[in-house]
Parts: sequence; structure tokens; C-alpha cells
Amino acid sequence: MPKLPGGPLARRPLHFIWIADCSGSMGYGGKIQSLNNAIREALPHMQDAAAENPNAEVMVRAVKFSSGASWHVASAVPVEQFRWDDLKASGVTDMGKALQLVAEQLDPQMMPQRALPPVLVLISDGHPTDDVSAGLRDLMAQPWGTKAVRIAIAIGDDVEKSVLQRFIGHPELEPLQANNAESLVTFIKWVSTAVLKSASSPASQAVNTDQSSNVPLPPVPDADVQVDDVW
Amino acid sequence: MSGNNGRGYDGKESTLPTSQESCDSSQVCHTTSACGLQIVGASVPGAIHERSGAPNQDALSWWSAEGEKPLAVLCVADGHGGSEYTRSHIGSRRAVKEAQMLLVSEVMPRILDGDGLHNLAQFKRQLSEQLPKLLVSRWRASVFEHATDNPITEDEVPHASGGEAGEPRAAKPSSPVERRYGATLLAVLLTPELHLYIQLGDGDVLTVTTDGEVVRPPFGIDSHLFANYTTSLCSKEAWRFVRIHFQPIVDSPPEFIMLATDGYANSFADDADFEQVARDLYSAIKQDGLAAVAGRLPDWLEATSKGGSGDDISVVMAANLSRPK
Repeated sequence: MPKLPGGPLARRPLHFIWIADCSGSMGYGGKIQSLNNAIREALPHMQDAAAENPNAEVMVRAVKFSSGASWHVASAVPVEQFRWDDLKASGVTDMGKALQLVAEQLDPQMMPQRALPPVLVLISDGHPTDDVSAGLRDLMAQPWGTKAVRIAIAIGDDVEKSVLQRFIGHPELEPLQANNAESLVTFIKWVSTAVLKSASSPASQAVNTDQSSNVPLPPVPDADVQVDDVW
Repeated sequence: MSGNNGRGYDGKESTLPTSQESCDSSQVCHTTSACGLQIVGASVPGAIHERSGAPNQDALSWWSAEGEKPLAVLCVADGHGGSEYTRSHIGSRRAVKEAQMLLVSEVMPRILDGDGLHNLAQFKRQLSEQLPKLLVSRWRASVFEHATDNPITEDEVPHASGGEAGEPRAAKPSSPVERRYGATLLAVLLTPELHLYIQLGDGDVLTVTTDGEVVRPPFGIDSHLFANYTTSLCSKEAWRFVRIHFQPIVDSPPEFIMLATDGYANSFADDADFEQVARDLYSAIKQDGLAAVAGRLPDWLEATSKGGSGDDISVVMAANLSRPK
């Protein structure tokens, strides 16, 4: 009699990827440091949220983009071991290249079919300076790109929101508007916890129905606008 | 879970043909027919559902004949769960019930009377055309009947309005009624001459050959079955997604056949680790007997869900131990 039929058990991987704008404009008004602080502050909450569902193996990494794009955290790190090193602002806004980097990692050869839908969080304060359409096309060409939970956070009011909306690809979900450090913390914490929890135990979704979102998202938190601290 | 001619769902009696044993256990049941066909199945709520208090969305059923011929029908279904599918645990039960009824009462006689097998190509063509539409239409009729008797309430439709507080209120559904009941379906019909495999949506059918090889029905890759997406009985034109495989028994049939909801395979890193399940379960039945396996099966499934996918897991399997080795 076997102890347990089958090979070794495995939790389902859930890949969470920060896609962060590090262009020069992020250096103004303390935006880049607010982003660093927000992610660092949210991390313990993210780890707690992940621990509530031991059947999902949450793996985190990060892409940064300015003049070009590169992995800030290249290897997928278990969330309980994830640490955030500060990003620094300089250069332009090559968002398209960042999306292409992410698309490469969403290839089904690298992300098995049994994985949970990945969570992609795009954070930007400006206008893309490269071919963002090519990046979006590459991302959406990947099955995991179209099935991913895609959230966008707009920092300040000089953001090309139509690009962020195309990234989200969901008519009922708009980019989250962060106009101060507090609201940025609120949104970062929301995606790190509530969205993560939804994505880690998604119900099945029937194809060929009118369903438009693969993972029902929790209510978006209100972000209080502080008049004296607006980006 | 439904056994052979056990009570139907919602307190109604099944109208399946008689002559079979029955079982109504909520966890596990098993049976051995006179022909040596040994069947066991179990369904357990997933670890995630246990934590959230959600019901088991899976269902399973089987039927086996009492006579000398190894005749059986096995079915499992997986309700989608989630806020859009508030009645998918009922939809899955209706799915296995209707599939079993159709296969036992209407398809099996056509195989046994020999007419279909005399012109197999024509039989396959006819059944491939008819069966998907029959499966889907019978399920839809069944869930519409349930919805008529039990109207969708406001609790099931967020933001609906009207009615008095504290009373179950009829609500105008924001989505098609059948979506509330969305479920997948796996079924297999076993006769000495032909095995018929049916799949709509995710889940796995594994067989073990006389050589000990684990083989899946050649359904091919369905690109719809990706991430948490699945084809479903509630999909538009769902019949188009039903996949059928006819396996004429020329030499020797598979010794072991297993149907499982996707919570089982998702508990392993790859196909090889999951396919080992079929070998291990078949070996356990041969070595320790059906009753011993039936006794352990719920614990195995619970431990697998807890350490793996966290999803509900249902499995029903048939082992044919009648042939000389």
C-alpha cells in the first residue's frame, strides 16, 4: 500500500512581477523613494497574505525600466525570502522593452500550465518613449500574458493612461491613480495582499461565456487625496 | 456523490436501470461486480474550500452491471465555484447524473445489440454528432428544472434589489441561468467490445495497459484548457467542446481506468508524477484489495489536496482483475 499515490506533491506556483518605472521624472517629488518605501512597507503584509494559502507558492521578481529595461530581481524569489533593494531614477521611459522582458518569462516552456495566473503590476509616472505597442503585442502573444492579472498604477497626473489601460485590457478596471505617497502605499498594499489572495485561489472560468476577467478582483480601495501633497 | 442506483439529487429517485449495487456515502464507495470489474471512487473537498467553508464542487457517479459482462459507466464532474457559479456544486451533480443516464439507458444498448458495431464508422459518426448535443441539452434541461423549482435569489446576485429584508428574494439574474451551474464532465462507458471516452473541460482520464503503461485517450491538446480557464457545460455552444474517443477492444482492454478532476493533477509538478497515481492505485487494488484501497482513498485525496493544489479532488476508477495474467 503506497503512503500516498503518485510522485512528490507540489504547490501551484504563482508568479508576481513588479514592473517599475525608474525614469528621471520618478526622481521628482520623491516619487521613486515613495515607491521603494511602499513596496518595502507592503512586503510583510504580502508575506502574510501568501502564508494564508499554503497551496500557492508565491514567487516574486521585478523589472525596472528607464533608458532600456532590465531585471531588478531576475530570479523568481519565494515571497518569504523576497527583499526590496531601492530603485534609482534616471533616463527615459522604455516601457515597451520592460513588457518584452516580462513576455519572455511568460513562455509556457518557462511557466508550466499548472501554474496559477501570474500577477503583473505596472507602475509608471509618464509617457513611454519606446515602442510600447510592440511590448504589449509580445506580452499578449503569450497565453500567460492574456491570462495574467494585470494591474496598473499611475503615479501623478502626467501619465499616459491610455497605455496603462491597454496593458490592463479590462474595460471595467482602470489604472489606479496615486497622487501622493499615502495613496501609493494603499494601492501597493492592495495588490500585494487582496489581489494576491484572489489570484492564489481562483475559481475555474468557463470559456465562451461573457466572462471578461479571469480572476474576480476585490474592491479597489479609496485613495484619499491630500491637497498639500499632490504629485 | 452518486453510486449506482442510489438516490438522485435533491431527494429525487434516480431512474437508472436496476440490477446494480448502490452507494450513497459522501466520501467513498466501492463495488465489485460478478464479472470481476472492481470500481471505487471518492470525492473530498479541497483544502482551500475547507479553509473558506465552501462546499465540495465536484461530483462523481458510476454504474456497473451485475452480469458476467464487464459493463460500466464512470463519471466525474467539477463545478467551477466562484461568485459567478453559485450553484456549480449542483451543476456537477446534475452533470454526472444526466451523463450516466444517457450512457446507460441509450448508448449502451446500441453497443450491446451489435447494430452499432456492425458498421463502426457509421456508428462513430452518428454518435459523435448526437452525443455532445444530447449531453449538453440534457444537462441544461436539468439545471433549468432546478432553477425553476429554486429561483435564483438575491444572495446569489450581488447588487440585485427588491423584496423584503431577510426573505429569499427572486432576483433577475445578471448572467445566463446555466452559468450558475457551470461544470466540466468526464465519462467513460465500458463494454467488452468498445470503450467510449468523453471529456468536456479539464480533468484527466488515465488508463493502465496490460504492459503497465499509462495511456491517455488521444483527445489532443485543447488550447482552451489553460490557467484557470476551462470549457464547460455552461459555455456557449458547449457541445462543440465535447471530445469523444472510441476505443474498439481488439486485443485486450486497459486493466485500469481512472477519471479525476483537475485538483488531482494540479497537485503534482508534472504529468509523470501524476500518472504514477494510476500505477500506484492499480497496484494497491491488486495487492491489498478494493476494500483496503477504498478505506484509504479519502485520506489520500485529502492529504494530496492539502499538500498540493488545495482544490477539491474526485476520482473514480475501475480495475478489471478477471483476466488471467
